[in-house]
Amino acid sequence: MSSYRSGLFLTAMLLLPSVELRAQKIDFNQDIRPILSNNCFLCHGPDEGNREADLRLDTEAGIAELRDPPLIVKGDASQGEFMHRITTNDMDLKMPPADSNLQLTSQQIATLKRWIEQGAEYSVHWAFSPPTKPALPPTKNKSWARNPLDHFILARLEQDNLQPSAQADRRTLIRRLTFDLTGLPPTPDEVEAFLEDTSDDAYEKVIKRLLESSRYGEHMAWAWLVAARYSDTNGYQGDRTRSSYFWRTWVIEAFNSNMPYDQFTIEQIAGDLLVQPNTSQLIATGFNRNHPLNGEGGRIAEENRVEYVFDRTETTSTVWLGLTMACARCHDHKYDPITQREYYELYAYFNSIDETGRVDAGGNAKPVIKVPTLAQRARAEEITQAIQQYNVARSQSLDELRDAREQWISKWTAILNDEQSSSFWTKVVPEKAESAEGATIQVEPRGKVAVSGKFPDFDDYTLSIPVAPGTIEAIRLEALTNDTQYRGPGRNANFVLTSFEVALQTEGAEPTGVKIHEARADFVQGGFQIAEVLQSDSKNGWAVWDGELKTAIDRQAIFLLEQPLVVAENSNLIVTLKHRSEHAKHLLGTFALSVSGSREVNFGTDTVPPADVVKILQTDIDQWKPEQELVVAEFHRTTTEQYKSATADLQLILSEQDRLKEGFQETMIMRDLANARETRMLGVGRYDNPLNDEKLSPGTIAGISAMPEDAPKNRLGLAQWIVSPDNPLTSRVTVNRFWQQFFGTGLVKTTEDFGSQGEVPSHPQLLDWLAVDFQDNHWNVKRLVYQLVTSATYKQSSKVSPELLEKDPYNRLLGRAPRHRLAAHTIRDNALAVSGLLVEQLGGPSVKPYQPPGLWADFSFGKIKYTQDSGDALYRRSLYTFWRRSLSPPNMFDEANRQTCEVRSKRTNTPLHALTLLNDITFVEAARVFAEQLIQENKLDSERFISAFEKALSRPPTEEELKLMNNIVTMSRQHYQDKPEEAAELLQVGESKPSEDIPAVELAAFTNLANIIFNTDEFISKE
Amino acid sequence: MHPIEQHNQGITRRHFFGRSSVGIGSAALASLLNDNVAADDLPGISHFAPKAKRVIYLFQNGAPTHLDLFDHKPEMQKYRGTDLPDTVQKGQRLTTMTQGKQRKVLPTPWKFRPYGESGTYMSELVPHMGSIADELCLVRSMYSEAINHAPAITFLLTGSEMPGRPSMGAWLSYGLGSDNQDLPTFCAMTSRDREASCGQIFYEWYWGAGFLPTHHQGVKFRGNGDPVLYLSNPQGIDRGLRKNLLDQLSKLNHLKQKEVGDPEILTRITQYELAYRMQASVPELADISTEPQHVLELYGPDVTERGSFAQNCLLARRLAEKGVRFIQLMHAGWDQHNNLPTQLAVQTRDTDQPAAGLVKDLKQRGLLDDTLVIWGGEFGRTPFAQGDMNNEKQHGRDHHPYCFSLWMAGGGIKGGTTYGQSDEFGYNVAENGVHVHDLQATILHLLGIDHEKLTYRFQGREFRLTDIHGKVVKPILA
Repeated sequence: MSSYRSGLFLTAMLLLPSVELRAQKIDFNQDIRPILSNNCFLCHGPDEGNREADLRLDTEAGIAELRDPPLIVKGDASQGEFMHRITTNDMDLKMPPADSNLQLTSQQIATLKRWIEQGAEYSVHWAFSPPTKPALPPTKNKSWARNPLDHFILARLEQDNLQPSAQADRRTLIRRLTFDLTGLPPTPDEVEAFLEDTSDDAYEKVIKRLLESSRYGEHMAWAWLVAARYSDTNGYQGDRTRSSYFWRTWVIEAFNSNMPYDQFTIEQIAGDLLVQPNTSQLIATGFNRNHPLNGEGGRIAEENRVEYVFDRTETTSTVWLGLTMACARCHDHKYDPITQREYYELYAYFNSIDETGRVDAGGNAKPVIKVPTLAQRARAEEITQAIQQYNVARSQSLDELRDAREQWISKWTAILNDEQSSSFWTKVVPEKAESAEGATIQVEPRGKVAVSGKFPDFDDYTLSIPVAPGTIEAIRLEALTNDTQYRGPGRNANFVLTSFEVALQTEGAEPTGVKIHEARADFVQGGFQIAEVLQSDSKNGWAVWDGELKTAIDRQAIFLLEQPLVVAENSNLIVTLKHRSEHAKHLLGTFALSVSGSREVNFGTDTVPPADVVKILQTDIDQWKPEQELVVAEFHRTTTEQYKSATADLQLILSEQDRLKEGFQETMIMRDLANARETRMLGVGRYDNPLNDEKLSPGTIAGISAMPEDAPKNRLGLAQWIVSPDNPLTSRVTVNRFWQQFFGTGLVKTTEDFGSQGEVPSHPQLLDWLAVDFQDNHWNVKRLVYQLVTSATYKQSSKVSPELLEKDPYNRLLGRAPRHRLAAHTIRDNALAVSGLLVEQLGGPSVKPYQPPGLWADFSFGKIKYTQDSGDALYRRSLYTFWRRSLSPPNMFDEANRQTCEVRSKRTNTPLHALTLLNDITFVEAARVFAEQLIQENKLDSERFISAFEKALSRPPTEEELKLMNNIVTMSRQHYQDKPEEAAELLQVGESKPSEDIPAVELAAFTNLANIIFNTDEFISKE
Repeated sequence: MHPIEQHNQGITRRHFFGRSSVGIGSAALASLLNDNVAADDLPGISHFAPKAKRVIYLFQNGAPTHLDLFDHKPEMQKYRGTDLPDTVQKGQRLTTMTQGKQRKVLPTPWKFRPYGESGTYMSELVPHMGSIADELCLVRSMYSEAINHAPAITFLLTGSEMPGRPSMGAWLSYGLGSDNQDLPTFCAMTSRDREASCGQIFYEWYWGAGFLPTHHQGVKFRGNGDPVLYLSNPQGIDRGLRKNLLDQLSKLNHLKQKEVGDPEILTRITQYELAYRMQASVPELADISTEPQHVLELYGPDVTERGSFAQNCLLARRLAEKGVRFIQLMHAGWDQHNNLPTQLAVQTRDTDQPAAGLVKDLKQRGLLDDTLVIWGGEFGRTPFAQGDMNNEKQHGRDHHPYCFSLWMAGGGIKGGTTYGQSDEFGYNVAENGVHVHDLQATILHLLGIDHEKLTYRFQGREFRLTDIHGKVVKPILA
């Protein structure tokens, strides 16, 4: 019987548990559209290209069209071609035609007949008309409902003469809640505290505690990662590793900080197009870079790129709109009002990313940005604050400094007037500075020398410096911090100065060498003594690295001349600085030279202010012009201790900032090209096969809602359209997905398809109520979650009576709480948590826990090998397990494969799952560690049994269960007493070391007990 | 049994079998290792009497060259080194490796001869296949759409170039259910060419369930370590102890079921029992020490080497005997872009005798009649040379989806025949083209399934292995 095979019959059975029990009034959307969609739309639907007989049954106009003979005679099912064709026995006329493999059931025909008899009313597909907040339906039972959503659930149950189940016991409630909100079990203490808390809001207090836990974000992130096809590798041949985990951390933090869902949407779709987006908003756009990347040899890059644009278009549609856009890649959608043209208009939003279709940025593909890890980010924030503080300290107000300045002025006026005092440094200003290798050397007016441009491995600098007549006894070299990367004083932080040579050239004559008697430095790096620079040909020299990457500190070297150097008029000092060590690129970057006529100078000796300041100081202070006063005041400020110390600190921290940023990693983001790519419709979706020459502009789907008028014509506009109040889909699709997460099945079971082939909602009014309420409350996700879990519906027991099972096998009416197996990743986390092995650390790169050897090598011909981590990384939450797209973690059964977007999870029950939970090292080790706890914390077997259940199942065991546990331990003890070597072997499983205080036989016996408990249906189920 | 419990179980059965009988969602029940479906009065979905009960697909990843193995083109000799005429090439797309480059005709350097009573021409490189020529239907007019390996393999096995659809074996598991008690319905095994000359990766989706329930996915039998992941008990737990422990687990789960009434718990109890059985049946299956010497010899010298194509062929026969529905062997190699003269002989040596041995072994056991064996790759290779025509040592051929060959044997196939023809260069199909979807339709047909009726609803659409295409190739049916 082919009708048995039609999906529709199944649909009708499951979704509309009993059409007969429903109100007699036929509803087009609930009752008729699914029949027409499944059986008729293929040839009489939205797809204009394949429309038969010019007949269209998906629109009001199509159904009402005047045809000859008439299609439908409203109110009279005995007339009209429509009824005739679906009921005739003439196989040439019969609809649907035999070769379509479709067939209407007699029940469906009866429904269609009734619809016509009732006037054949049409309504727009329910999901495309905006939701309005319905009034709460009346219920017979007035005391059950806890919040608005319960009214809808109860009213529907009462319609079928069903009653809701009793509330679950408190142990079950806290266990259910803790798994649902954090993905982890409650501790016995948490259970106990809840049992003892008799206050009215005890339950709500638990919810609040859990919602504030950072585990909440980790748990909520999983489903979003799956929808976003998150993976740590690219897929395809090569399957290289990418660094998308920054985006994963972003998701966790977004849930934890309860980012409103509209903002969550906008930042992920178009964070890069916001005004001055911050790093976090750019990372958010990684959502649409999570698709696979094809690095296969021989692939055409443009073909790849087009695939990526398809993926973004379709993923975005599924996740936010619940639409199956892929159909419209090649032709108008067969069931929903989406034309092929509209597909490519939507596609156009994603078609101008600055990308090549190649894997061209390590394992990533451009565009990328460098972003900090969590630890780096925390330090970067501290640094930013510190920089601000130092800058404040450096810009002390000149008014505040007035007194100090006046003292300083008098001091220097006196010194400058005293011919005798010579124990100062006087800065000199080179008139010529050359690099032997062609680097650029600039001399600032006050004498600072800065090297830039060409960056050779080794270099000599020669400076020609006019000096005033007099005597020079000492020369000072200051190696100065600066604005380059790492902030100097070398061109690349450190330098090695191998030679410092001085000569005197008096006008016209050849230079004569000046001998240096002694060299001193205020800091030397071990093994790089300052004296080395006096050996002209030395490979050794003076360097200043302090061993901790703190090179950005001003350093001084002082050279005492052998003889006082008498300088005549028109003389120049010729100073040569050589860098000829074995360390390439270790060259001075910024420096200054000073001279002194005294030998009594030292590192702390004062420096005469620069010439321009001296010039002012030498004039009558009362005659200073305001700008001269300012020059003096600003210079003075730079001589204060506060300024000098803040500047030194600033340079050091800027240097640290440079290094920190250098350590940032690249991650993929969205960024548009300056000039948009042209978008054309592609025949059968082939990248090189445009249907025509028409260039399409970005655009949304007319049949859903209009574009907000002020929205920009880019992805930001698209994002705004998606979350606009007029969009009938986004809010419904979103609350439905959260509903699915908490109740096992969505109100619309086909989470991914809200189109006419999707299933109609089991509780349409409830869905609309939630959708409107969610938007009215600013897309507040935690509030929505709170609503769901405080409902009486949620708090029901999941126990099921045979009667209820028979009446509502799939629990679509929610006359009980759902009971189902936990996801594989949650089962693993559960075992780790219960055993105490779990290592909680939020965010960061993925880790590689246990996996059977050789798996990666097998599939990749040895090209990719799994290097298992050790220590803490073995016990992180499953969310952080490295996800290879081509080969997902083997113990994560039933999890989505992360090739494409998936929004509905699978839940099967196979022996392979049993084998995994029984034998995977993860679970065997966790069992042993759990057993150690049980033995160490309790003396008697019976106490251990009770503790085992309380920790693993949040409840004490029954008498019968105690007996079975005793059986397990007794049979295991006997076994291992006979074969102690087997006990020893079992305890070796896993990297952690077994406790030596517990006899092996005992520990092995309890390990078996724990292993069996970890395999009970209750341990792996949400109840 | 306690009356309530009995009632519960009754519901469970009705519940599940009821669900099954509604649609082919049915086979959702025919789970991985479930009992014989027919015995439970499940209709299955056979649309007509099947010729084959099972399939052994010897998939040759990397694309074997049809021109040097199966498609005899003696006329090409006279065009050696000349440009392939544009009238033949017709501007069809090529990979980036040969796009815009010279296309000099490269005839095969190997000799062909007729084999068997049927006189089917095949290369001297595959004498063992020649020895079963009278069992084979050699199709010389296959064609595909994708020009790179992964998309083409994915297309052949799932009907779509993009990953995400169920593979053929998963469709059959879903459609027909299981035919054995303690082994998976769908098994996959992989091997690679001896000298690691190619880098094709075995993606999980080649035997994946796509959007079908995951228990329909192929179970990978591994060439090292546990034959099935996590099959072995941890060290320190022997089989006897495990049995006793599982008995206690079963009792704990029964207590739970009695308390909460969830029928899924009963299924779980069964699955644990099956897991335990599998722990014996799989190693037993993988243990070939009981095979007599004359049988081992059929498969050639590599048969004792774990993970080799030869041993996988032997295991395929053992799986077939146990009633496994779809056995997918994947052997990677064949991608001879620039090493045809050296590598082709190596790879035919690895695969020729084992594949022929498998057919002979099936035949001598009477299994060939209802076992369909298929040998072939994802596409063929170009008649023109890739690389320097004058450097004979580095002769190679590029990917070629427009025409290639594969053979089928047993399970309702007309043996000793050839089907379809290529043009004089083996470039395009000249007669009776068999598209990948036609092949898929034919395979399903042989198993008694109308490919247009084996559908699964996903994202609002009824999906098929053959998408909206495919026609059964009737002339090759026995």
